[in-house]
Amino acid sequence: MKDYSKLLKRVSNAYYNLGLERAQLSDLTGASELLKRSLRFNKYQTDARNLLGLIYYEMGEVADALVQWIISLNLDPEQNRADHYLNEVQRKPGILAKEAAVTRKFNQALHQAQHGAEDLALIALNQIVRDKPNFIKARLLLALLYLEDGQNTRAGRSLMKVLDTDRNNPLALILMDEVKKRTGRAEVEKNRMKNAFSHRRMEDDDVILPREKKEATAGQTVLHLIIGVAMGLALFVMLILPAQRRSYNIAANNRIAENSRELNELNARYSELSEQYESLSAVYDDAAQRLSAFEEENAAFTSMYRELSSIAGAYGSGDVVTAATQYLQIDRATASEEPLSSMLAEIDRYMLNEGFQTLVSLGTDAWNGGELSQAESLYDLALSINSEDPEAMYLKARLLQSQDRITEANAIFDVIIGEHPESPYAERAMNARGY
Amino acid sequence: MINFKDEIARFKPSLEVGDIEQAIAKSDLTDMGDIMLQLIKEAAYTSSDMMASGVSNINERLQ
Repeated sequence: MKDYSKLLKRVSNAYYNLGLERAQLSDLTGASELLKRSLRFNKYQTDARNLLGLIYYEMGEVADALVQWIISLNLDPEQNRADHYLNEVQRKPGILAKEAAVTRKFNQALHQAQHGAEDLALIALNQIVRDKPNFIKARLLLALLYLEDGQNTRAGRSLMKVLDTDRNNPLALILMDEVKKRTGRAEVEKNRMKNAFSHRRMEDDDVILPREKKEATAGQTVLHLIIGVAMGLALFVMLILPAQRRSYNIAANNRIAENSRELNELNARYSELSEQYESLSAVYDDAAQRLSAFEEENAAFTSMYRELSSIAGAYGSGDVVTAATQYLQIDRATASEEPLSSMLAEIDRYMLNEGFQTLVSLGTDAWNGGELSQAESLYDLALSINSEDPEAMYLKARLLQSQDRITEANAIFDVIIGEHPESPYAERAMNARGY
Repeated sequence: MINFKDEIARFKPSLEVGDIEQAIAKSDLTDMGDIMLQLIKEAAYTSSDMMASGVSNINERLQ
């Protein structure tokens, strides 16, 4: 087993060395393939895993790099360079958030490109490569979209950037060939190569004869000067003017692009502010509703407090009739919470005892004074507070009987006899009823 | 001739920073050493089974 283990380590190291060599030659794709093979033979080859992470980082795939460094640190926690790389990435403020945002944007652009929205994808990818120039995958996709759109020069520029970072990127090489074919560059390069290797080897006997030099006459000199000036003018018109015009166009395009970007930023800012406004509106509406509810609740509280205070005041000043009338009108549900509930309980206690008795006594006094109608009202008021009191019922029945309202009186006597048979007023009611 | 649609379709989304934990959990870290160890274990079990069956055959014949 030990022999196998040694052998596997050796193979793994060999692949790592090859990968390192490729990485030093800027062949990142080739290097990553070799490093993956190295790890297939020995997953504990820490250098290979760390270098693989570095290559991913260099190609703009930060999350993949972090995966490799985290695995590396887990497999080999002692004096591991991956610890330093992870610290470096985490030390820079906001770098992870920025990388996450760029990756998300790329994935969205890829989705757009794969679902028929190539124009939107182009705009997004341009922004991505501006923010993250080494993002190989984004540059390749951008080049593909440019090629599809027939913008060969831009595609070529994007591919050049890819090949600067990853010299042998297979897709970049294929696409670059296509760019060269389309622009005629392939033919030019082919001819140049043919010329470079087509020179006949000179023999020892070959002689190079110098060309004969003729003296020019004065007329010829003037003619040459005129031709030179004409050629200079022609060159100026043909080469420099178009170049200047092109540079003006480029500057104008850049300005348009800049304005477009500013417009996009302003739109984004506007959307953000709109969202903030909506969110604040919701908060405001909620607060307004709460305030309104609180005001309503507070108004109900104040009103009930006044009513209870008024009852207590009337009772305290001896006006039991007013106190009882107000007491019967209060809305008990509004006084369910403290301190109103305590106030109401206190008033209940007074009204059901002393208040009630006072009303009955006042009724009897009125009856004795010949105020029969007032006496009935006072008995009614007392019975509204406590409808089960046999004494008040009896007195009212007797009052009615004295006014020859026999049916009404008998009905009350029957209630006393039927519902309060233990009461001393039951026997009196029976006598009054004539049983 | 390059088929652009196919080439674009071949692109895979990049791994997002939020998905790192999941990617680590899914990583296949099996290396050749692990495979070799597994093969050796299997071979050892097979040979011990064969030994056991051979011993039982001999015992049967002796009886």
